[in-house]
Order: sequence, then C-alpha cells, then structure tokens
Amino acid sequence: MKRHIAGLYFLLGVWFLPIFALVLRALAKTWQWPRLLPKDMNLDPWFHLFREGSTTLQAIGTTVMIALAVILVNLLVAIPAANILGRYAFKGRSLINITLTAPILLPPLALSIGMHRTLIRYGLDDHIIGVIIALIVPTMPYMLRALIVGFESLGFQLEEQAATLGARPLQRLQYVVLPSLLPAVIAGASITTLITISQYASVLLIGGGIVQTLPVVTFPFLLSGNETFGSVYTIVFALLAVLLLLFLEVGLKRYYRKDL
Amino acid sequence: MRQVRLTDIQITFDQRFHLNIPDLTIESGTFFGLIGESGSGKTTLLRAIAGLQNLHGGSIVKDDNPIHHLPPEDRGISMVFQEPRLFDHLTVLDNVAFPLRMKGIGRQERTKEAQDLLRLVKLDSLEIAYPASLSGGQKQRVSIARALACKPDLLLMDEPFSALDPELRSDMRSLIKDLHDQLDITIIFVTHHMEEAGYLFSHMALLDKGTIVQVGPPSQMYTRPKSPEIARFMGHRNVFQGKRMETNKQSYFQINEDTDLVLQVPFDTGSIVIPDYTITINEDAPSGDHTQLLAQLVDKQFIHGSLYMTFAYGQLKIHKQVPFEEDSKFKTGQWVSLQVRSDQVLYFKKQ
Repeated sequence: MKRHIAGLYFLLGVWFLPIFALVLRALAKTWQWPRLLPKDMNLDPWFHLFREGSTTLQAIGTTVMIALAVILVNLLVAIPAANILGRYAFKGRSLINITLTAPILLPPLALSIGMHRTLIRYGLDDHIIGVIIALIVPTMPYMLRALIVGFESLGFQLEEQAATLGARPLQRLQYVVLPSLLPAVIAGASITTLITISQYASVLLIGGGIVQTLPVVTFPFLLSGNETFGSVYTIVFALLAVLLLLFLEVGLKRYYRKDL
Repeated sequence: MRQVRLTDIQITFDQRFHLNIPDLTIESGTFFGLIGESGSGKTTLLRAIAGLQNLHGGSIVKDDNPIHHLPPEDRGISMVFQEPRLFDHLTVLDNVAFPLRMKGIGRQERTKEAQDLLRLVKLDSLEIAYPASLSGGQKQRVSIARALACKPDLLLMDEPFSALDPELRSDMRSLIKDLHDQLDITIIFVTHHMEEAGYLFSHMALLDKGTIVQVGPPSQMYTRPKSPEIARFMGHRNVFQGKRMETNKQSYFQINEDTDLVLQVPFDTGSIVIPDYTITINEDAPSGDHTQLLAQLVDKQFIHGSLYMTFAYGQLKIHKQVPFEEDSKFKTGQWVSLQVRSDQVLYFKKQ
C-alpha cells in the first residue's frame, strides 16, 4: 500500500505537477513570486498566437508536412533495403549495415552542416525540400534498424504460404508483408516523427528561417524570456507529438486491419 | 483428372545433397505418401512440386500440362506446412477467405465459402478469433481449411501434424482422411511416422538419400519390402544378417558363431527378415524339431494396448507383438518355443 502511495506521489511530482504548472503558465501573462497561482488567467495568449494570419497554424502545418514526407521517403527507401539486409545473406552485409547505421552516431546538426553546401549547390537551401532531405539523413538509420529487425523475424515463411494460396507478388506485399511489418513500421515512424518535429538547428540552418516549423517559431519566445508564449508553444508541441504518434499507431493499424 | 507426373527431377544443394527422381506418377484422387528419414529429400520434393524450390533438371506435368516453369500462385496447388503459418493480423474467417480474396471474389461470397469450410473442420465457433488465441490443433485446422479454400487440384501436406501431441494427431488424421474421401482431392503427404502411412495412404513412395527406393501401397511395402533397410523402416524388427552353412544333413543360416537358424536360404550371404506375423509362441518345450527355436522371454512392455515381447535366442533378440491380455500366461524369464513359418520369411541376397 505504502509503495502505491509513493508511486502516486512520484507520478504527481514528475508528471502531473510540471504539466499542471505549464498549463497555468500558458494561461497567464505573469506569475509572480510568492503567488501560488498566477493572477488573471485567461485564454488571451492562445487567441493571440492562433489569431488569423499568425505563423502558428502555418508552422504546425509545415511541421506535420515535413514529418509525414520524411516518414514516407524513409519507408520507400528503407523497406526494400531492409528486405535485402534483413533476409538475405551475402558478403559485406555487416559492413553495409554499419555504414547505414553510422549517421546515428553524429548529431543531426553536424550532418546538416555537412550537407548545407551540397544543398546550396542544388538550390535546395531555404526550401522545404532541402529541410526534408536534411532530416531524412539522421532519421533513416532508425527506420532501417526497425525494419531490418521486422524483416528478420518475418522470414519467408508467410510469403511462401501466401504464394501457395494464390497471392501474386504485389498482393503478398500488400496483404502479408506490410501488415506483418506493422509493428516495425510504427516503431520506425514514431522515432522518425519525434526526431523530425523536434529539430531546431538543422531546420533553421537549411531552411534559412524561411521554412518555419514549430520549434523554429517557439525558440525566439523561449530565448527572449516570454514564458507565456513559450509555454503555449510547448503545449502545442507536446500535443502535436502525441497526436502524430496516435495517428501513426491507430491509423496504420486500422488501415491494415481492414476486414475482408 | 488431376494426375501429377514427375520425370527426371534433379535438385542439388552445394554438392552435399542430390535429389534424383527418374519417374514418379501420382494418380488422380490418391492419398499419396512420401516417407523417409530426416534429410531423405521428401520436403525438398514437395517444395519443388509447389514451386517453392527451383529444379536443376526434369519436369513436373499436371494433367498433361507442364507446370515446373510456373510460379507457385499459378500451379493450382496449395500447401499445408508443418507450422500452421497463419496470418496473425487476420481473423480465423479472414485467414480462410484469404485465397478467395486473392482471386478477387466478393466479400459476401468468400465469407460464405469460408464459413462452410470452417464448419467442415469444426471450427465455425471461432470465426472472429485471431490466431494468437487458438491451440496448436485449431491453428492447423484453420490452415487446412484455408488450403482447401483454393479448391486446389492438388493438396500438399508437409508433416502437418508432427508438432501436435499424439491424441490430437490421431484426431487430425481422421479429419484429413474424411476430408479426402468427402472432397475427392489428390493429396501428397510427407511424414516419417509409419502409423500415419498405414492409416492414410493408398500409395506411397519411400525416399532414401534423395532417391525413391520403393513405391506401392503401404501393405505391399510392409509384406514385400525391396531391401532389409526398407523392411526396417516399414517397422520390421527381426532383421538379421548372416551366411549359409551346410552340413551333410541340413542347411543353416548362421547369424554369428553361436547362433544359427535352421533355414534354407537362397543365397550365400545376405539378410533375412522374420515378419512378426510369421512367429507363433508355444509354451511347450521344443521336441527336437529345429524349425522351432527355444527362446527365453527377456522383456515385455505394454504399449498402446499391445504387449511387445523380446525373446533371447542365442545372441539374437527376436521381437513379437501380441494383443494385451490381463491374465497373460507369459512371464519374464520363461522359456518358450518360437515357431517360424519359413515360407513367409523374407530373403535378401547381399548386393
């Protein structure tokens, strides 16, 4: 019983209290010492940031679009690659595996700085496509790792079975391989989402301030000490992350569970 | 007609294993068995028929149409594997309806057909369950129903019951036998269990080291095996090697220095097989007739309602199975006379 109460306090202290404080902070202009609760709480900061023509909604849209584009490209590239690396034995497989995992070892900003000049050369700097490319590089290894493990455990057995039941190669991919890889796809896509939407420096560097994602519009408020708007953006960011993850989990599962 | 003819099949794995089937015809409607030890090539042959294993030579012809160049999905052959290989993301009903969906059959029709098949394998109450919640036997029944949904010309089964416990295996044997009789399909079934062979197959082929060593009905292969090795595989336990010895008066079959049998063997060296059914046990002491063997009962075991008795004759161990009787008169250590019908003993000249 005591242990349960201790657990409850821990949850309150570590989870609910900071979130509660964050919500309060996002509802008031100031929160002065020694007040326990802020004075004059209202939704004005929210209305202000979400007013018509503000950058907030645009930034959310850009963030979601970049995240989905990065997931899509990652999936398109990683599925065939992971199929080969996870299910076929050939000389040099380990070497390729290590090479493809290597970007995980470097901070995304370092990768972006390295890519910046190349993107400038192709005229992709200050453009959303440049940002998408810059975010594919640090996220691809995670997607690849998840899918390689997925393909390894899938093996060939279910595809063989499907073939003897009359399924053609594309049908096998659609009805057997992809649904069986669903847990791996969700894992890879979730990590990709979290990394993608939280990038600030890489987006600012490659996007040149023109491509505005949620962290890019949040940062100046946090830097200038505007805690109210900073708090609103932090909540919006957290909600966006949760919603995207939920969308991936529920949406993908529902898509593949569509009954016959 | 759903006849399958295999001609000059060649498959080689890294020079270590070579499958060579010069000619094998499986007639329409038969329940055909492929039996043999592990590694004899039976699963490889089955996978080649299904299209899951490339041939390095030869042809597979189904009803006068060559099919060896076709991908598995175009052969009209379905296969049940040792593991049920169900699609975990689909319900039992959707698993069974899967082949129909691949053919583009509408939802209503395929659901009805799948329900009929589930009734056939007595699983209609589990339509909406997912495979993870089923027992091993239930999973394999779903797998069989799903294979039948294809309405295959030929159903291949690769040791489908070997992962099940004995009682369930027996139930499944009855089920598949009933389905075969009811649906009039051709089945090729791989196993290394002889009890399955006797119950299920109308014909079978015995494979050894990548080639077929004998084909025929199970009873014929038991009573007329082509070699002592086949006899042993078919369940004969009294297989002895030896040579012919002659005295002025009589001809003997000498198994070792201390043990011989009074038998007129048609070779100098070779093997004999004394089938269980040729041996009669007499309690009376032998009366100097050398066709009778004075043997001592050294072991008896009660297995599946039968008594497995082992007799020592010289250095030989002779086995005989009799129906179990509670008031069995035979006691371990007892001396008996074993009478062997020499005209039914099988003789194999050493090659």
